[in-house]
Amino acid sequence: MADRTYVLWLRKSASVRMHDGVNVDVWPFSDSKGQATLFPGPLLASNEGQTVQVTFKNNMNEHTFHFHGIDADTPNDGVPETWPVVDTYTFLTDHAGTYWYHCHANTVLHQQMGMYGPYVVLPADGSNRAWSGGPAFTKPYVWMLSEFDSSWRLSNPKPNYAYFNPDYFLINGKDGFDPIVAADTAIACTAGDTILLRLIHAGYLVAQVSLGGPPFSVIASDGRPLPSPQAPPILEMASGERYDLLIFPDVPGTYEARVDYLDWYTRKVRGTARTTITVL
Amino acid sequence: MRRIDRRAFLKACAVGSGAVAVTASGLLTLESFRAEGARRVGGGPMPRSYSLRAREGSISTVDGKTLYARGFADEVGAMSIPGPALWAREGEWVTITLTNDAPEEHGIAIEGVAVGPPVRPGGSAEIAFQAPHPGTYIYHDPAESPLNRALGMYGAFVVVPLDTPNRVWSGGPAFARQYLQVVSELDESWNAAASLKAPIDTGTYRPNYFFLNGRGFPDSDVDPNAHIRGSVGETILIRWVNAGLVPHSLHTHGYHFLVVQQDGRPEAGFREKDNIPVYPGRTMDVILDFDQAGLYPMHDHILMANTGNGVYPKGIMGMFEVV
Repeated sequence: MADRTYVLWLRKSASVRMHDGVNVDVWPFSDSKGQATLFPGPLLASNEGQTVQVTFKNNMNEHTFHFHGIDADTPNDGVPETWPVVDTYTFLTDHAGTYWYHCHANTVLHQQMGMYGPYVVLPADGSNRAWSGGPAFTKPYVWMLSEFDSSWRLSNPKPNYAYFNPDYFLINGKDGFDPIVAADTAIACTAGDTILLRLIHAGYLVAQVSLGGPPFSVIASDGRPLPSPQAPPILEMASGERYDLLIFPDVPGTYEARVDYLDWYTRKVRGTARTTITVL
Repeated sequence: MRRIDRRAFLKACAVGSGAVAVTASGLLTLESFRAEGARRVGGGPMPRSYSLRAREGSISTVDGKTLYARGFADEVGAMSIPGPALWAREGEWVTITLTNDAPEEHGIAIEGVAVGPPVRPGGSAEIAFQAPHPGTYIYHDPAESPLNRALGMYGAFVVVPLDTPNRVWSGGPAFARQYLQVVSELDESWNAAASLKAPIDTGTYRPNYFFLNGRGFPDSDVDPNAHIRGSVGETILIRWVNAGLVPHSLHTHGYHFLVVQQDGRPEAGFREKDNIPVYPGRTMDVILDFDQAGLYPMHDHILMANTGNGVYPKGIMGMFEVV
């Protein structure tokens, strides 16, 4: 028997409003039938050592879940090219850290349509530590990074998915300055806190993350502790990667954090998403 | 070592394995190399020699197109993309003779190791150097950069330890077998323009075909370096080479891997990852333990590169088949 069970639904007629008022179509997951649009999909979590079962409720044989980084066995890996499509996935979560799930059928389009969400594995005791015996934190945040190319929603002309020209640049599904007022994104803390920030790159362009001042340390990546913590001035990450940061707010103030998304050939900034870290 | 050129390998094996005094790695002039050889008469090592030819040819796409391309061929063979895999042991003398069979000027450079002179059509030139630290390197044509590389003029140069071929470097991580995975891509419009000798604006690059060892999936699946077979309990080394002009963010299903080396330099600490970008012109050596059986893809998570001209999953995707 599974220690945790989740049931997810797919909504195929939803959209999210961008800062300029344009609605962009998404196919988001939700944890109840008919729930108001939640994008990205709900945060799934389990503890180290737990077996988890996730059921895809209204799949219609078109989609899969891939639990990225969990290293599930082939029947539960969600890859139509290696195993027939199933609706129920069972796997063991044996390393605390940051993961994500996404559809792995025609992934180039389905991931772009927003079929993804964050997955977090907590220590065995569920405590506020990055991993069992690892560093403690006061409060966790997840930033899921991605972009939208609204032209990929058009059927005429039919898009060529080799050509990605995003026009919206997101943190947790919001673009422009909107992430500044999003309670799940803008970091609010007190000097002396330790914030765990889980970064997940669900987009297609290389992203550069800068926090605007508060000291931080990169302690883990892809669900594993780093051999030694790092403190680069700018953290660069690519599609599919995750990084866990401990932020040590020390001086009260409001800091502008930003994610710059770079062109994959020229490395020029194609777009930026902004949020804030407020230290009381 | 499946991709090694057989004749070159046999020739190299015949050269002997006398210990080589390792001085500073890097480019030596041919004269200094010959002087070094002369000093070693009577027991000194002979060079490991390769001959490559710069040629025009074509590359096949996963959807059946044949596109004009430029590439490297071995001494007698047809052009291949990537070019022939070149191998040497640490500290060995290596010579590469490049003969230019193509109508434009070409050359050869090994990133961080040696740069040869431009070679005019019909001409040839030789570079000589000592094999650097064990690891994975890229050779390519630096002429008309980055055009010739984008058209297919690249390959891998691998240096193995002198006495411990199943370690990444002497005293480094051990493995049962090793695999070479060269990822790249092309912008079809560059190939079309190059075939017509038309001007190309290399400030704009819109790649639409993506390759693992020169093929898109599933064409690549016949390549034993792309579809890797093994058994539970084995440890393998994968040498990732990005010969293209854009990053490729490689993700393994089923397993995490250890990043042990980049560009021929050992990492200070080995990161355990399931997804990492390999940047253009860079290499990465990763160690992977087969700790479960199954069939798992390895693919580029920059998903445009998981397509062939926009069709999924016809781009950069390999497989692990583990029993």
